[in-house]
Formats: sequence, C-alpha cells, structure tokens
Amino acid sequence: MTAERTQNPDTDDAVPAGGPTFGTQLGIAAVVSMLVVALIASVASSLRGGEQLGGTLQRQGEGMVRSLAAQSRLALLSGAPENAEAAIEAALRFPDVVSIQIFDASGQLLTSRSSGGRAVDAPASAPQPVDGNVIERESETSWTFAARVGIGNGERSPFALDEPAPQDLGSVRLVMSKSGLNALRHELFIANLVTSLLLATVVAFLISLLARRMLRPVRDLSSAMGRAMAGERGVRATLDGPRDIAAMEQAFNRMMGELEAREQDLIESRDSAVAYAELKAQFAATVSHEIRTPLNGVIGSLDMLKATRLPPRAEQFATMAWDSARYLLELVNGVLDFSRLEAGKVELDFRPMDLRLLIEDIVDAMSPQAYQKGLEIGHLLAPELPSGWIGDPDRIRQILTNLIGNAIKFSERGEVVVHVGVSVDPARANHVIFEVHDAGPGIPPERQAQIFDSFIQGDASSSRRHQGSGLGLAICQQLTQLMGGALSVHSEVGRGSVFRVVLPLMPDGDATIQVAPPVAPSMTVLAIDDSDIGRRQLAQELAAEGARVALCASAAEGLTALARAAERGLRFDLALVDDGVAPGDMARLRKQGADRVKDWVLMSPLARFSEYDESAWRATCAKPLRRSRLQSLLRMINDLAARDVSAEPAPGVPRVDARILVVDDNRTNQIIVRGMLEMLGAEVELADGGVAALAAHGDNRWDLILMDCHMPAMDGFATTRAIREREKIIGGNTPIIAMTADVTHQELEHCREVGMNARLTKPFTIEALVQTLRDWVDIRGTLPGPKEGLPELAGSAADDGVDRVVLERLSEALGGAVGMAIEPFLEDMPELIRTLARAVAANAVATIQANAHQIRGAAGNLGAYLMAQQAEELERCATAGEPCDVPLDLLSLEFERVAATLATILEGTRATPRPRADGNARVLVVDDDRSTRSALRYALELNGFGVDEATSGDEAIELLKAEPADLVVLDAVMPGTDGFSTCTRLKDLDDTRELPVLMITSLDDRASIERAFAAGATDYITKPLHLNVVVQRIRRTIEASRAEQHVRHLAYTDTLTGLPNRTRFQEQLQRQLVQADAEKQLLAVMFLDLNRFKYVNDTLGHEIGDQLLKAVGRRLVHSVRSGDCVARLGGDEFTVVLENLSATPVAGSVAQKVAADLSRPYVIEGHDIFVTPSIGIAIYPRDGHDLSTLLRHADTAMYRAKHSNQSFTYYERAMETRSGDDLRLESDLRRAVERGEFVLHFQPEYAPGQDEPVAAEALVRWQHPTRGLLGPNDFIPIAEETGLIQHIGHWVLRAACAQLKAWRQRGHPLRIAVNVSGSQLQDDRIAGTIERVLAEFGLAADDLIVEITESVWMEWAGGAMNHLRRIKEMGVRLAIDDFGTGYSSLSYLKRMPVDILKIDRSFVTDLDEGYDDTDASIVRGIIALGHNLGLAVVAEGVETEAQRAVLARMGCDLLQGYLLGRPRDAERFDGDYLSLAADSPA
Amino acid sequence: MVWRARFCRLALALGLAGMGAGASADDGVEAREPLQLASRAPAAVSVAAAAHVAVIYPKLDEPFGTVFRQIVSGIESVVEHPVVSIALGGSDAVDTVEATLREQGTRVVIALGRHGLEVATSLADRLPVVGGAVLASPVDASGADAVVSLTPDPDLLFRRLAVLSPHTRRVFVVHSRPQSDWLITLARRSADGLGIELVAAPADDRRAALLAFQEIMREARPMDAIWLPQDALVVDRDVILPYVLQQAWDRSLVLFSSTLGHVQRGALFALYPDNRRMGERLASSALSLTERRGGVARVEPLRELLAAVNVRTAGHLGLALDDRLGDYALTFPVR
Repeated sequence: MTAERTQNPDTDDAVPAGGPTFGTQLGIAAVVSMLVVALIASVASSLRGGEQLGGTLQRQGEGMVRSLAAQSRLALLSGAPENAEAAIEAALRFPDVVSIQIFDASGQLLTSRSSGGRAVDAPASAPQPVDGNVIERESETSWTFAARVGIGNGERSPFALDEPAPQDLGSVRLVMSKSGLNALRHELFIANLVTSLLLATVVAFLISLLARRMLRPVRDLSSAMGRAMAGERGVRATLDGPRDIAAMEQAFNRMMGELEAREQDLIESRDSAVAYAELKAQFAATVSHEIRTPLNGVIGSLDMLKATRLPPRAEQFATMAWDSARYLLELVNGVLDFSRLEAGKVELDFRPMDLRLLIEDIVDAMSPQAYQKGLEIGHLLAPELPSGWIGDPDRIRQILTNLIGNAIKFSERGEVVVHVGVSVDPARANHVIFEVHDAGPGIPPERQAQIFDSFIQGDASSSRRHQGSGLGLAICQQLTQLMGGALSVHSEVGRGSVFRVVLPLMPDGDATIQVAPPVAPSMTVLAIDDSDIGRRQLAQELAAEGARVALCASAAEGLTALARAAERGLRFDLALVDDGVAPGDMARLRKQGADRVKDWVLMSPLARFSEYDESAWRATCAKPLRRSRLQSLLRMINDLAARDVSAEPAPGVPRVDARILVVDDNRTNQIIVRGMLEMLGAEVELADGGVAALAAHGDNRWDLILMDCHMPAMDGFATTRAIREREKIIGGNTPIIAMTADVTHQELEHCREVGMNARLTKPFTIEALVQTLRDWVDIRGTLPGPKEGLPELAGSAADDGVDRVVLERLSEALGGAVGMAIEPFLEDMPELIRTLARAVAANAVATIQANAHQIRGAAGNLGAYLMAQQAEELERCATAGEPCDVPLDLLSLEFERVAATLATILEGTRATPRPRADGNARVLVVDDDRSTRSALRYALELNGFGVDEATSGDEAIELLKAEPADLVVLDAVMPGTDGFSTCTRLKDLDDTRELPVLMITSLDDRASIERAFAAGATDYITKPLHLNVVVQRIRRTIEASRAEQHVRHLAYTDTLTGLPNRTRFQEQLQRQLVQADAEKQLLAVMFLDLNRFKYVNDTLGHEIGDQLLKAVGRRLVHSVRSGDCVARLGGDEFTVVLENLSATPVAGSVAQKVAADLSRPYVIEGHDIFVTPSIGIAIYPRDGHDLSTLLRHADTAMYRAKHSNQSFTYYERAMETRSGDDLRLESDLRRAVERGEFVLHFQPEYAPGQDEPVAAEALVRWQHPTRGLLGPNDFIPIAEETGLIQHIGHWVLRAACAQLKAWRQRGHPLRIAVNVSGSQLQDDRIAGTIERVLAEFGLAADDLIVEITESVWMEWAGGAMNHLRRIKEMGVRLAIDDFGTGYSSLSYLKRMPVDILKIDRSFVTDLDEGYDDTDASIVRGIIALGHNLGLAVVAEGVETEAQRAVLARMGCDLLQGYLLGRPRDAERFDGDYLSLAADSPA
Repeated sequence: MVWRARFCRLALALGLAGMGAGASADDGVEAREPLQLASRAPAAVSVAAAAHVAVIYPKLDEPFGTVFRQIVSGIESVVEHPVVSIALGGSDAVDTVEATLREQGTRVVIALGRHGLEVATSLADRLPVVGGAVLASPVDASGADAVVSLTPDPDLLFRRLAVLSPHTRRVFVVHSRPQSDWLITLARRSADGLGIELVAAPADDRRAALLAFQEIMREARPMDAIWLPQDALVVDRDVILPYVLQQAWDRSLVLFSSTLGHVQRGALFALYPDNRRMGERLASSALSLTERRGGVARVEPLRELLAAVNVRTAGHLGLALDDRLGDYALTFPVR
C-alpha cells in the first residue's frame, strides 16, 4: 500500500498531519481481513486434512496387516519365519510401522520384528481378531492392527465333491505409530498457513494495485491542488475517475480557471501600464533626440563663437544665447528626465562641484528671462557656506533652473532671489538649503499639496496666464527625492512663494579653500541700486573684498550720500550705479559726484551698454552680479589687473594633436564638430556615412574616430563593427567615440557592444569634447594665446599677401622643401604677368583667360589669395567680355608683395631636394604651370612615386606611348590640347583606356567637374592644391586602379589555363561580331569538347586532368592564328573564334589542324594520354547573327560531331530541328514510361548448323502513339540523357525474364540476352535488381546474358566495374556487344569478367565468299582471341549464306542476323522460330 | 523453501496411502480362477415330451453355465430323442424334478456337477444316473450308476509329457491318499509303460504336502518333472502352488498339471475337459446304462481332453514347441 503524502511540509497551509491516507486505510483493512481469513482457512483445512490423513493411514494399516497375513501363510505353514521375512521387511519399511508379530495357530509367537530395533510396544499374547475388524486397539500414539492367517477358505468348486476344510494357520499383528500422522498434520497446518499467507499477499498486492488505480484520480487531484498551491500556472485536474471525484476535479478546474482569468487580467493591466510607461519614455526619448540634433547646431555654434575672440558685446550676446540654448537643452533633458524618472532609469552622478559657481551660472543663465520681464534677479549665499561640495551639479542645476524659471514665470514685478545656506540644525550640517523666492501671486494652501503632481499648475483654470507643461515641479520633486532631499513650498496668496529644497550633500574635503586676499581693501564704494537683492548682494560681496560701502536705494539717496561725503571731505573710490536710475538723476549724480567719486561704473543687466556708456563710464558691469565679475571690476579699478573682463582670453583651449575622422551624415554637425576639432588643432577628415568611413579607415591611420550613431544606410554601429572586424585582421585599435543624441541605457549598451570606446552626448560643448578626447588622444596643455599666423579670415591676415597656413601645409607636404614650390613661382610669374599685360593690351581674350587662370592657380597654391582673387577676376571678366576692375598694376604690385614674403620664407627653408625615389608606381604630371609640376613632383617623389612631367596634352600622350604610367595628373586648362580633350584621347587608346586620370582644376564649378568625368577622369582635385591630400588621393587612386585591374584579370581569365574565360570570350566575340558586321566579313565560332576527358579525370585523377586541360589549352593556342581568340568555357569545353575568314571551308581546315594537333599523345607524369576533340563550327553570319545563337549552334554541331565520331562538323539547320524533335521525344518518352508503351522484340541466335535457337536477344521497341514503332537508336540516347533509362532498363529486364519463363515452361531451353546501358550500370542497385528479378521469375542466373557495348565497358570504369563483377558473381553471363568498334586496348578483356564476345556487324557485313581480307582477318582474330580467352564468340549481322558458311568455318560459336531470324515480338518469335520445337511441358 | 519441502512430503504421504490401498485391492483380484472356456451361443433349453434322457445340472452363473450348456449340447448330439434338461435353481425341490422326469418319461438321468448328482441320486423313484462334470474318485460314495470324472487320465498326461519333454525320466507327485490313489495307480501303470519313474509322496494335510514338496525340491534335478493332480488339499493355490511354481521355475523342473489354470500360472502344460465330447461320452454311457440295467457303478478318468501349454515356460526349459503348437488348444501367455 502506498502512503501518499500530499501535503507540502514547507508551506504553512500544509495539510494537517496525523491521519493516514485513504489508500493506507484501505490497505490496512484489506491486509487484516486477508490475514484472518488465511488463519481460519489454514486451521480448518489442516483439521480436515488431518482427519482424512488419519483415515488414510488407518486404511493403509489395515491393508498392510491383511497383506501381511496373506504373505505369512507360507511361513506359518512351513513353520519357518524366514519365509515371511521379506514381507515383514517390506511392511516395516513403511513409515510409522512400529512392530510386527506373527503367531502360529497355537498362539505361539513365530516371529516378531520392530522398526529400527525399537522395543516392541505390543502385547505378547496372540491376538484374537474378530473377522472383518482388524483394528485390535487404538491409542493416542498408535494403532494396533491384527488379522487371522488362514488357508483354504476360498469358494467351493461346483465340480468338487469334497473340498478340504479351511485351516487356521495363526495370526499377524501390526503396530503403527501415529507420530507420522501428527507430523503430517502439523506440516499440513504450516503448509496451509503458508499457502494462505501467500495467497493473502497476492490478493493484498492485487488490492493495492486496484486501490492505487481507484485512488489515482484523487491523488492526481491532490497533486494538482498542491502544484496550484505552489504557484504553478495552468494547472488543471484531468477529468477521470468515478463521478463524485470527477465532479470535484471539475469544480477545481473551474476554480483554477476563474483564478487564472483574474490573474491574467491583472497581468494584462500591469503589462499595459508598463508598456505605456515604456512608450512614454520612448516617446520622450525620441522627441528629446529630435530636439537635440538641431540644438547641437545651436549650442555648438555658440560654443565656438564663444571660443573665438569676439568683441565684448558680441561675446555677451553669444554667452546669453549659449546659456539660453543650454537652458533649452535642460528643458529637453527635463522632459526626458521625467520620463526616465518615471521609468526609474535615472542615475545620479556625484562629483565635486563649486556651489557658488553653480549658483552664479544658474542665475546668470536665467537672468535674461528675468530682465526681459523687468524683474530683478540675484542670489545670496550664506557667508559661512563652503564652496566645495560633492553632489550631482546637473541635477541641482536642473532643479534650480526649474524653480527659478517658475519664479520668473509667475512674478510680474519685483525680485526673484535665490538663497543658499546650510541647515542650522547641527545634526543636519550637511543639508544645503536652496530657497527660491518669488514675487508671484502665491499659491492657495489647498493647491499647495497638488502642485508637485505632474501636469498641474497652481492655476488650473482654463484661462491661466502661464503656459507650461507643469512638469517642472514634478521633476524637481522627484529629483530631490532621488537625491534624498525634500522639496517644499511656503506661500501666501498675494505675498509670493518660497520653494525650498533641502539636499543632503557631502562637503568636498579635497577642495582647496582659496583664501584670496581681498581685492579691494579699504576701497570706498558708493552703490546705488534700487533693487533690494542688488543692494544686499553688493553689500555682501563688496564687504567680502574689503571695501567699505555706502548703499543707496535710489538716486536721491545717492545724492544724499554724496552730499554727506562732501561734507565730510570724503571721496569714493568707486561709484556703482544701477542702470535703473533715471537718466536725469544719473546726470545729477554724475555732476554732483564728479569730484567726489574717482571712477564711475554702470551696472546694467544683459550687458546692455551703449557705445556712449562705454565712453562715459569708467567701466561697465553686467548684472546679475557675480563674484568673479565684481573682482575683475575692482581689480581693474585698482589697476591691479591690466585686463578687462571681456578682454580675457577665450577660455583655455587645449591643443589636440591628432588625426581625427569625423563620421556624420548631418551637414550642420559635420561643420560644428569639424570646427571644434580644428579649433583644437586636430587634423580632421569628414566621412558622410558608414561606407565612406570604412574607406577612409582603410586608407589612413587615425588617432581617433568620432562616429555618429544614426546614419542612413550603414549606421554607426554597423560601421564600428566592420572597423573592429577589419582591425582584427590588419591590427590596430582606433578609439571610436560615439556621438549620439540618444541617451538611453540601451543605446549606451549598444555602443559598448559594437566596440565603441566612449560616448559624447549631443549636443556637446568644446569642453565636453576635450574632456572626452583627453582619455584617448594626446592633448597638450592649453592653446598658447592667439595662434600666430592663424588666419581668421582669408583677407584679414593677408598683410604680407600670403596665407601662412597654406604655406605651412605645403611645407609639410614637401617635407620642409617648400622652396621647390616657391622657386618656380617666383621665376615664372613675372613672365606670366608680362604676357597677361600684353594680352590685355591686345585684348586677346583667350590668352588673358589662359594666363589669368594659370596665375590664379599658382598663386592660390601658395596661399596668395589676394593675387589669386585678382587673377580670377581678370579671368572672369575676360570670359564674360566685361571690362575688368582690377588694374594689372595692382596684380603686379600684389605679386611683388607676395614675392617679397615668399623670398623671405624661401631663405629659411632652402633645403636639399631629396633624390628622386625609385617608386614602383609612376605618375605622369601634366600641367603647363611649372611651379605646380615642380611641387607635385617633389611631393610625389617624397612619397615614393616615380614622376614624369609633361607640359601639354600632346606631349603627355606621346610620353605615355613610350613609357606607360600608373596614373596621370592632368591639368584641365592648358594651352593647346586642354585636359578634357587629352583625357578623352587617352580613354580612346587601348593602352591607356584603363589608366586612371586625376584632373586638376581650379574650376570648382559643377559644369567643369561634370565635364571632367564625362571625359573619363577618375577623379578631380581643385586648386589650390593641398599637396598632402593630392598625394593621398593619387596613392588611393593607383591602389584602386591596380586592384581593379587585378579583379578584371580574375574576372576575365580562366585561372587554370590562363585563357580568357567565358565572360571575356563573350565580350570579345561581341566586339568581333560588331566588327565583322561592319566589315562584312565571315567569322567562325568553333566549339570544342574533349572526348573521354571524363575517363581521364576518373582514372588518373583531377590533377592530371587539370594538367591535360592546360596542355590542351597551350596546343590550341598554337594551333590557331595568333590573333584568334581561344577561350575555355569550363570543364573540357574550349572555344575558338576565327576572324576575317576568307571562306567557310577555311574553318574546316583549321578545325582539322586543331583536331590533329590535339590528338597527338600527351605525356603527363609518365602517363601517355590520348584524347581527341569533337569540334562544332558555326559561321557568322550564315548560322546566326548574335553571340548566343552562334555559340548554341556551334555547341549543337559539336554534339553531332561527337555522336557521329567525326572530328568536326559544321552546323546545319537540320540539327536544330532534330534537337527540337529530341525535346518532344523526351516528353513523349516520359509519358511512354508511365503508359508502358514499350514492347520487346526478340532475335534468335543459332549455333552453326542447328535449327533450334540457342538464345534470344531482347530488343526494346517503343510503340510511339504517332510515330509508330521506334527502334532503340531513336530513343535510348535521350533516355540515357534524361535518366529515364533506369525505368526502361528495369522494364526490359522484367519483361525479358517473364518471356523466358514462359518459354521455359513450354520446354524451350533458350537463354535470354538483355542489353544494359552504361548509366544503368552506374546505379548501385543494378546487381540487386537483377538478382530480385531472376528470383521473381524463378530463373537460374546463367539463363540471363547481360550485354554491354564495348564503349560502355571502356567509359564506365570504377563503380560500374564493381557492379559488373557482382552480377558476374551471381552467375549471370556477360557479353560485350558490338565488339571491335570501341577502343583497341584489349587489356580490359583480361580484367573484365566477360563470357561472350559479340562481333560487330560491320566486320561481318563484308564477309563473303570472296571476302575482304581485312575483315576476315579481324573476325578470325577475334574468334581466336575469344576462344583463347575461353570466351564464346557470337557474330552479329549475318545476312547471307556466304557469311554464315564463312563464320561456321571460322569456328564462330553462335550466329545472329537477318538471315537466321529477324527480331520478332514474342508471339511471332514462337511461331517463326520455335514452332519446330515440340511444345512439351517442362 | 522449507514449507515447499514439507508440502511435498505431505503430498507423498497422501499418495502413498492411496497406493497402499490400490495394492491390497490387486491382491484380491489375483485369487480368482479364470474359467472362461470355449463358449457357444446358449441353446434354448426346453422340456421335450417323451424324452428318454434327462439332464440335470445346477443353474449357475457364468462361466459354469456355458460349461453345462456345452456338455448338454454334446449329449443332445448323441441322443436321438429330445433331451430333457433341467437347470436346478436354488429353490427347486427334488419333488418338482421328480415330477418333471416322470411327466417326460425319463428313463435315464445324466447328472452334472455336484448339486446335479446330489439331486439325481436322491430321487425317490430311482432312475439310472450317469454322473458327470464332477471331480469324483472311486472312494467317493456318489450313488450314481456311472461317473465320468473331470480328472484327466494320467496316461494321456504322461504321454504328452513324453512327447514334450523326452528327456524327463522322473516324475514327482504329491497326493492325499484317499482321493488320489486310483489315479496314482493309473499313473504308475502309464509311467512304467513309458519308462518313467514315478515318485509319489503321499501327504495327509497341507503341511505334509508342503514338506513333501520341499523334499522334492531338494532332490529333483533339472528336467525332472512334477505332476500336480487335481488334489485341492495338496495343491493349495494360496500357499503351496505359488511355492511349487516358484521352485520349479528356479530349478528348471518340468511342472505339468491336471488343472488348466496352472498353465496360466506357469506350469508347462495341462489337459482339460473337452466339454462337448465329454457330453457325448456321458450320453453314450447313459444310453448304454439303459440297456444294461443294474451294472456296477464305476468311476473313470476323463479322456476327452484338450491341451494347453505355456510357451514362456517351455522357452525357459529349452523345449522346442514350434512344430507342435497345433496340438494345443490353448497357449499361454495369451497372445
């Protein structure tokens, strides 16, 4: 019995323990009852058994004593006890017989025996038994049986007159113990008990099984409930078992269904809520991303603008714009943050910060808004507040920006003040308190609790005045809470509100406490400001700097103070006047204080200073006030510092010395990033997409790559992945920094995953950029002041006429030998200018154009932009036919200026020119300007190129004919043949068709570029030349060109033979066809295929096959004229095109020559190989006008040649129709297989001089529905091609065997010959098939002859041979059909398991009485050969008596032919050839 | 496995008990004398009028009934007139028989069997009686006018012995003196004629007979013969006959008997009555008795006999029987 524990002990709701299970109880009841039954049954059974046993033993004793009495008669009669000995022994051998006594008639004991020598436990006196009762005595332990012994007491005979009287001989006593009986009884009881117990066990087991089966539903239900209790979902009880339990299960299932449905509802609600939140976050992220991208432009531009040296006012505006943009960005961030906060995705970034700077920055950033609205804004930091804290400044900024923004928004007048201090509670000394006070309408108490909910404003009415999402406070609230702080509001309606943020921050212990000495010790300052906060700020700050301050709230107070000072004879070092003072008051003040105040300074918000202000005031100070500003002002006033605030250098920009690739598809971004990087001094190249980036990465080594993540086509991730993959191969690990506006976590992960090293979040500032770059590239200190010679604008620095940057670059490219470019310029230019002057005088437009153009290019190259401009203007005017504004003198003057500068530079840079490098790539530079040529030559040679120069297009072409080059650099505008036409001519020449041409042009208009490309230029470069770029471009172009040539070679050449491949061949043929068409000439296409090539490949291996193909290719090339195109199409197929054919037969003779050449033996690795070609010839235009037709026809002709064993065949139109027929036939054949349209005909084979055929050859015929009866030649080739031969072959085999069986049953001892094709032999199953078919028809193996043509023997070596051997091993006879027509090697006869040779009919045909010697010899030879090899020889095609006679004489074993019997169907075969043979049952 | 062993022993005990019972039953069967003699289809026995000869015999169950019917048919084949045959039931009184005989005009009575002879000799109206089918000796006072005893003539026995076992020169016989003397006389005469020494040992009771046989066994040599006459006292079938049969077989003694049943049990041969011919002889005697009325009653041994041989015993003794098997009406063991 199983005691199932259904309760789970781990859970509290465990089923109470204690009671045994249902199953256990059932089991116990069954076991107990079985035991009781077993006990009762065994007791009853043993009692009854004992009784029966006692009876049996008693009867046994009685029988024994009677028997003993009978056997004692002789002993008693003779008085010799030994006569009873045997009987007594036998009796004693019975178990339990204890003793035996025999008494004689007189009562004397004759003999007495007891078993085992035991004492006789019996009376000594003779018994007195009563007749019929032999039990003398019975006790507990024994029976005593006694019987009388008598003789002659049988029946009387009816015939005897007197019978002898019966005689009493004595008596016998037998004592039998009951011990055996008792033992048996005991054993019986035990046995019964054991049996009963066994039975009980079996029954109990069966009951247990039954109970288990009955209880299973309950158990299942219990287990299902347990699983449901453990939390598993989808638990259902199986509905089975008795009805009551099924009802329970149903109830349980319904309950579970209900529960799960409810749970599902909950899950769905939760999921939809989560999905909605996700969606919201996603939406926010997307929107913020979309806004970030344009913002990047705004912020980047402003950032750069700020970084450049600006007039103070411009800088002020830029700064404000920048701050606003940042505020906008923060708003965007706010939206994103809110969604991220909601999604719990915000992480804090704790770092050291300067709280004062932070607050000042925030207030500064918010001030424009405030001032625009006429509000005052300011901040007060508690004096005791340390500046250095550790916290998340971005979040604090976010919160304060929000709160201040709100304050500004809701205040119509008055002030917005930010108070910052620390908690007075010593326990909370680290709690910094930020308070934002406004002068707004205040918030009613009942709404104060709600304003922190998202999308709720204090004024929820539809007519509310203030636009906004109401998001800000919610974000602030959440951010504050996130940082562990609290945000609260104190407000009274009509008295403004105070938002208080209490944040636990950590003091920054590492912050160096700068105890700067007071800037203005003992300075006396008069400060006039009508704003409360302004005054408080001034008081606090000025006091901090050591100044003594007189604070006035109005001009009037100021006047008073001045008056008082005058009274006391005091002077103010400085008067700070807010611009809120009315102009009239201001004038009065200035007037009254003219001698009382040393310096007047105007304070104005938004730095709104007019030029008048600048001149009228000693200095100006922008509001809101910040410590650094005030300090600067005071220093200036004190002459402590020479510099004006605004005159300070742009923030220190470090110098980045690196080559950086910027990958971005957005033009704005490209410009911004490039601008920033260039400002930092980095060398930048742009790639506008992933593909371009990959190319750029392949061309150069970069120190760093900035990668935009989201780009069309190939995005940043894919590009990075590709770059990393490439680097795995070529080595290197270029740092890649992602630029992304998407700040989600997934994006970050994704960046890391693809192998990006860091991330810049768009929009970013220069600072952020430097911060990020610092980790990856070498950043040297800070930028040393304004860079010398750095051009801000082309014209601005051209005081010496030359752009130094250009010269620097040039110098770099030329390895310092900038003189190589300058010298020719200086030498050639005067002459050019003179020529130009003459041309202008003569108004020779073309000359003007050419010279001006040249001057422009040359000057531009050297950075003489002004000169270049003048030349350009001249050129333009000449082209347009306008009078030119630029006097030639000016150009000359400019040249002189430039020349002077260049000369000085030349002095310092004269360097020994490097020797011409022996580069492997040669570049031809074609330019009429010597300086350009010279510079290019030098730069190129420096980079390892070989350089040739040409001054004109014609010269270039001549030069190229003599010596090829790898690339041509071609000036577009040259006298004579200009660059465009030169390029066109180069492209037309065969030798230079593939030559890459780089067009140099100063014409950067679209038309020129298009023209350059139209002329076939590979690329173009615009002047002025950046030599490094040019060199790179040239190198890249040459590499690309070489790679292309290699690819072209690969694509057009057959790698094995080096011959043109199919593609090349087709292109060539196409060209030749066009030419042939134009010149009305004949052209032949030869299609060539090697016979038996497959055999070579299969037997000697592919390597030898390949070598053979090479050899064939070589011979083929030598067999035709040198100009004829020989190509390999693949496999063993070659083509030859014969051009300019004088007549059609010429092709035939060429083909013959080719065939002869190719048929000569090849010796490859010791193998003599013979192959012959089959050649098909198609003639243009006779056999086709286009490429594909000609090829197809040549192919068709080749097939015909192959099948007809000719070396070559011309195409004929009939072949095509035949091919069409073949197609139809093929489809018919497929149907024929399904419809069973085949019939077998049989041709007899006779032994010479015999009338009865020995064998019949089965020949398949096709009963074609429309064409009538077709012979095998008409369809077997197609069947072999299409694989249908397998089906047909199988059918033939079965049909032939079936027929043979029929003949055999009628007593004809024929054999049957079946033809098997090569492709059938290839099939692995062929041997098995034959075996099965033979078995099916009960035929012996040697009843069947398998015929295979000789060529099949030869062609299908290898596997087919193994199959043949298996067939042969079965006992099937093998015959070679058409013997003598195949290949002459006889060695295979030795190797092949052949029995029969069938001499081909062609040898027999000419065998006649006066026979042809040759054929007779061959036939005789074959017969002799066959007989010597032990093969039977059959002659085919016997058609005349003479042939029969000759063959018989020669000893041919069997004959076959029309003379002896034509092929007949089975019925007619019976009638014609078998009628003579008696039909007798087998 | 102990319980299984015990179970087997139990079954053995039960089986043994059954076997013991069976064995004792067999012992009982073995004692019966097979008397299935040649039997014919019983002819209807009816009382014919004016018959001269009447046959009286006891009405007994088979096989005796058949014996009597064969004898009667032998009688009827000789007597011309219808024979009155009276089968005596247990309750048939002598008077009834007497009346019947008188009605039928019976002139002579053939009494068969002990009971038939008793009834015939006790008739008031005394008719001549011929006794048959009884083992009678001259010493028995039967009251019949003539008796043909069932005892085979010793002469015929000895002649057959001489033929069958020609080398036998001595024949032992044990007999109880009063019943067998006349036979011993006849036998001695015949033995002398055949050149055989007859050693006869008289015995008064069974014990003496047994002792005599034990003596014979001690004395006899192979090919000596023992003759067992129809002497119930001597040849006790329960004790002595088995003893003799066993000893003779062991010592290769030729044992022949006057009782057919002994052949089946192992005696070499025996002669037994040919019932029909015996009937014929009785009828002849009866007819001759009517003609010579008042003749001396005499007892004759039976000479109308058939022979039975035990082929196995003959084989044991090395006697060739092949060409003489046709002389024996019965051969044992029955094939």
